Amino acid sequence: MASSPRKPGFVPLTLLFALFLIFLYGPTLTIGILSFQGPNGGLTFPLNGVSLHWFRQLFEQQQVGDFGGSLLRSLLLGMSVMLCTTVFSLLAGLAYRRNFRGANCLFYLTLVSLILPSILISLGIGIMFDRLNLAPGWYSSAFGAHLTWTLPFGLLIMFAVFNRFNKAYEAAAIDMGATPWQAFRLVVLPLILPSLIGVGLFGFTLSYDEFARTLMTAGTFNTLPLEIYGMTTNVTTPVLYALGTLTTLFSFTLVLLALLGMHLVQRRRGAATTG
Amino acid sequence: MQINKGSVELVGVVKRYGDKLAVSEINLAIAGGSYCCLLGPSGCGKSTTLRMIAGHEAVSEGDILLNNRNVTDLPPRRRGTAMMFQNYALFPHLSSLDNVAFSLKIAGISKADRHARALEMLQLVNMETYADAFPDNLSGGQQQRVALARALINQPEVILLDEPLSALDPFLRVRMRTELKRIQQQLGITFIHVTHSQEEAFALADSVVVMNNGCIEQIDNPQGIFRTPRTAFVAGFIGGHNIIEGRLTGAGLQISQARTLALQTVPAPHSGGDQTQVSLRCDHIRVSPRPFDNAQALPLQVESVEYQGSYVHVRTRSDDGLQLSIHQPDADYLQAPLYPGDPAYVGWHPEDLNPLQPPAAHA
Repeated sequence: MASSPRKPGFVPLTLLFALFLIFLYGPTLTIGILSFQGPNGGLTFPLNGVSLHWFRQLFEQQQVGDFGGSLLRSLLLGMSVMLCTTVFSLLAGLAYRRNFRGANCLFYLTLVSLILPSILISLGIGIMFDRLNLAPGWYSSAFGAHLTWTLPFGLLIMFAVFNRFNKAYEAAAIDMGATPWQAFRLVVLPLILPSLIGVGLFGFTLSYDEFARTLMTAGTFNTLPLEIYGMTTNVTTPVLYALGTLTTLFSFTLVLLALLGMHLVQRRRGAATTG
Repeated sequence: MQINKGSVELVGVVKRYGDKLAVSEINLAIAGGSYCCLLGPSGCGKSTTLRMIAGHEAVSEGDILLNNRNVTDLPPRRRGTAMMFQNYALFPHLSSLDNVAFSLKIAGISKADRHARALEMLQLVNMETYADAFPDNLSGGQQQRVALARALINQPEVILLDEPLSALDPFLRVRMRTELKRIQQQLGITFIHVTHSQEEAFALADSVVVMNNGCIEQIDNPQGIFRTPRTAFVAGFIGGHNIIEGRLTGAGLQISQARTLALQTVPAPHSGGDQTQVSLRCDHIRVSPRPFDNAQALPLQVESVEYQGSYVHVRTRSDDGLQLSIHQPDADYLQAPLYPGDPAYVGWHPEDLNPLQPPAAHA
């Protein structure tokens, strides 16, 4: 069977793509492998035996660093940010469907917080809390700082969602006697729900691994990224890698669950169609 | 028998978007139980008019009456109309059955009841076997049937259809329009159907409303529209007509020094001068390479000849500017074929020259 001749760019481009993949997943894989380092192993290759030693260590009280606490804080913060981002992005997206006064102005103001360097925003919020004589905390100042990051993203996603949304669906619902609220609840909401879940997950991820915006606003107690960063200077054992592997697995699980959920919904529709 | 059931009347209805006039003061009365087509090119205001009747578009000026009841300011659900949207707008997250039952759900009818009634409606459009299917898995024609069932379930007096056949392939379009007409006649309710296809309008409508530029150009039954188009726009839009411009003289319509066409009905001069227009059906012109009785003395010249099956499309022109498109019966063509460059002797009955009104005045 004659295959069509490859174009001259094929080999270099494939190599480039392979390099990209290595660059993308290499570090994660390296850390994953190193986290199974034997009890006497160090931070670098070669592996000195294989064990789960460092994973066990992770859940014991550390000399420096508090994984459990920081993980819990990051999760709680991420969840709250997720919730707020979803609700406010949805409401803002709905508001932008009709023109209101100052819509453009508000939009640019929102975008500014995406453009400003994160560390400056963090610094600004930190200073503001200081001036107001308020103690910064991960649940207050850091929460706000994260929202300056996730809300604009959420809003932009909602723009894309409503841009594609066929207004005839709502008009049809209204035509059949639905009140605007019923049209929203029975038609609009179910149709944009997948995107809304996406906005939520996005908000969670952005908050969960946010470093710069938390740096000056977290107060006394660290979130997970701050804790890990602190540990890179203090902790010199592969327990760090074990943590990395666990959090990566956690994120993967979340993504897989989301995909599974979508798949199940699709299958239910498919089954109803053929049945 | 209630004469008025489902009658729709538009009185001086105007729609403006900012400074732009989308619909300029139209008056229209549609008899209850009739099939009415709003026909016109895109942007002529026909869809806007339909949406105003449905209540999805606010009226800038004027009134809309349904059954002699002023509904101008009522929301869609309190008008007794149902709309079938372009591309149907079936809810993708609901099955056919739930789509059809949607308005009953809004009305608070129990699940068993509303499903039973929705199934009846699906039976009316022969879609009961697809009750559990989702819109994405239905063909265009099937979606259209479901959409129709959904519009019918609340027993509306008026169904408003926005380009209902434009999403279908030509073959299905013809089949579905037969179906639309069957259901309209079976239920005896008013159908108002927006289309840009004169073929569709002619096939379906009891009355055709031809619109252009936000104005109504003509309201008549299909025969009336085709036999006596009122304006040059109507004659041009429905096709199959020549529009002949000339000067009005005592002898008739003067095209040039040498050519004056005899008129039976004298048209009104357009815009003050003595210029005027008449229309002449392409299939009412006899054409031959040789002179014949009551043919025009001056022949034209054949420009192109296209075989179309039941007729042959002959385009002719003369040096004095007269251009005629002719649909020649294929039998005539086979007897004496015309070729480009041939002289074309043409003739018609003077009463076939249909006087045209000046274009509707636009505000």
